[in-house]
Amino acid sequence: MDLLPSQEQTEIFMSARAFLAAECPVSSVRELAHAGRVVDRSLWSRAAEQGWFALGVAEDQGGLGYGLPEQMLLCREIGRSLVPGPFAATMLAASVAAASGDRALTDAIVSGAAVVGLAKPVAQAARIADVVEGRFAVFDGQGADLLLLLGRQGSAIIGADAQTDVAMLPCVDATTRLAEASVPATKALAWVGPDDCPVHVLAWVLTAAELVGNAEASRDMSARHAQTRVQFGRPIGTFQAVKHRCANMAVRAEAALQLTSYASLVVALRHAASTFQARSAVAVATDAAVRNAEDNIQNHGGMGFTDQLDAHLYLKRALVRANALGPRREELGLLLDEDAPLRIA
Amino acid sequence: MDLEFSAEEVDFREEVATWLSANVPRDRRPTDDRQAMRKFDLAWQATQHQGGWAGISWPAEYGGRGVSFVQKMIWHEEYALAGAPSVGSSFVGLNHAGPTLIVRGSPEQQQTHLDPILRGEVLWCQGFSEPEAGSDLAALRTRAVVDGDHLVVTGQKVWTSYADVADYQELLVRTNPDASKHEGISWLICDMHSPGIEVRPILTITGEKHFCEVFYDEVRVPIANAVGGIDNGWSVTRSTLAFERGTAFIDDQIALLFEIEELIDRARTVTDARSRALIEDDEFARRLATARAEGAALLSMTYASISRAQRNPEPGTEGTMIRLYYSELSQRVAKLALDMAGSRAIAYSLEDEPKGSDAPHMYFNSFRRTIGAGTSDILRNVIAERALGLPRHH
Repeated sequence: MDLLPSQEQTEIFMSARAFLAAECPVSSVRELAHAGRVVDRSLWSRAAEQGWFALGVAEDQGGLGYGLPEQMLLCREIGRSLVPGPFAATMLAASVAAASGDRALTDAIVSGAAVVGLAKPVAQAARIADVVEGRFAVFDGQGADLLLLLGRQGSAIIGADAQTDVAMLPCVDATTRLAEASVPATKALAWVGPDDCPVHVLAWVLTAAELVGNAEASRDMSARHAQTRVQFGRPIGTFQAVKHRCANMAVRAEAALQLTSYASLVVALRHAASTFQARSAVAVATDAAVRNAEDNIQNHGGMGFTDQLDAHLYLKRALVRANALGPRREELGLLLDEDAPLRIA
Repeated sequence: MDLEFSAEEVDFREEVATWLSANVPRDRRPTDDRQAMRKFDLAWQATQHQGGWAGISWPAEYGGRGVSFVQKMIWHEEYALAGAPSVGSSFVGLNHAGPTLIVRGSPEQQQTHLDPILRGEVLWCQGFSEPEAGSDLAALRTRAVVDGDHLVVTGQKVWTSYADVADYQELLVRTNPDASKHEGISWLICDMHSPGIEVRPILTITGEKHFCEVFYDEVRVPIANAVGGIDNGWSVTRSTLAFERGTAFIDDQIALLFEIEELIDRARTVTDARSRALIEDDEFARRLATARAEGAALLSMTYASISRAQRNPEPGTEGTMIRLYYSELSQRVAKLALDMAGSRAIAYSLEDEPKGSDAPHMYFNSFRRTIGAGTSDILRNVIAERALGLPRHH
């Protein structure tokens, strides 16, 4: 039993961290927002070359043969860096394509040729199976090639061009594209039932992972500021109010990281506790990311209230990620329906 | 990252679970009659010793079981799941005084004291805090003066749990008032039956007498009872910290998870004035669900801490973070239980009613968790300074 990353896993996420720091610093995120774009295709193909979309696909299906724990560690770095784009949805779509046996589709996604946006039903009446039909909330589906539709009864991939009655929505996060769209009865390019591959549960874990990285970024930004910002002749980190706020951020991030790590292992094993642990991870990681971002703004005083400081970018991304997979009230209610395991899986 | 257990670990879990189910006492642990409580705790310790389970955290060469960190975790998980009694008055001997003697005691001190702890023959208590030395423990004033081959102790300790039933005390005293405050302290083994010791239980907000004041009026302690040498007491207290790495608290954490489950069950069956099950109330549902998720996070943090301990003998701040998280979660859960109890929360006598899982008792008892063994404020300072590198206050 070991909840911590191995040497090999550490290399995977550390190289992703270095790649993102070099290829997509926060200034690039701002440029993309300003240019009205979400996906930088050139960055996307370089990410594909790094093997990001191949991580969760078996080697005999053209992938790297890793699993959810490695994808979780990667998504944590994606969250930390604020890089925009439907990376997690595309990783999950690669698994759906592989599970349905469509090699050509799998290759298109793994190679980076096909960007996959995320969609979830807005109405109960939606159908997601071999045929897809209904009204959906779409995240980063505009400019994408494909859509991954996630539902409790199944998940499916369709062409992004199957969308009709597209209503673009504004978004507080300038680098997420929100929309609502209809899909008239459309044959799925690939689909899986929840027993074949519980994609919506995998999605919870990867969302939680992005929120963990986001929470850690806010924590680290506050820690640096508390060490260097001087007022009244000393670093503000010597004042207990600031010190304690930073301590709270550290504890939240640690709780979120360890629960998300644990959830990734439990879900990878398809253990009975999978849905409970994955939902819990989203709840705890959401709380960590949002509250850490709020505290980070407070710690920066007047500057925290400006657009110029990056703190608000983490907050806005966290709010969007938290809402991407269902309103919190509904999620928390569902947490009570599952059996809570009282010991390690 | 993996959740695999070796064949040895799986066998160990089965061995533990089997033994516990056959040997966990059926009677409730007495709490009001202090002598009965002492007898119960010692008897349970003796039973564990006979079964080969005493000192699960202790190295084998000191009479313990010498198991790995993961096996310790398995023992504590199964212990809680079996409903085994709280370690109670055995805590200090097993988890603090004993380990201190293992790490810093002389061979004579180890030979005299370790085995009786494991066998369930003696109880220990802790004489650290004083009225003027709480968070600032190093400011302690209880004075010990050399007189031949004894130290003569005069002063006062407070918050000493189980002082009224203990045989020995780990006692911190000031042996050198001229040295700097951290450098003039000694760690003594004090026989609680010595002449000159007076124990006064303290009535707490729960209506119970959890702990005591202890007064020392020229109490004679052999110099041979100084652990680690005279004036080295502060370094002795610090060396105890690295020992246990938080596995003993898994019992408490799982007990908290059980409490949360019990509250959820209660919320499904108990109805409010409008004959609606409490769980239909959005506020209660949200708080219960959040508590459940946070309970899972707490357990995960402990698993991670054990994983770290396996790789690195030096503890980081993860134990401190876990303690803070646990203490505040337990308070939120206790408050939730109180709110769910409605008017039954106030129509209740703390002095007369049965204790334990009743909401009012749980709630008032929960205050101690962010105060004892390091206040939450001190823990936050430690986390900010050691985990995040923030500067100290001066």
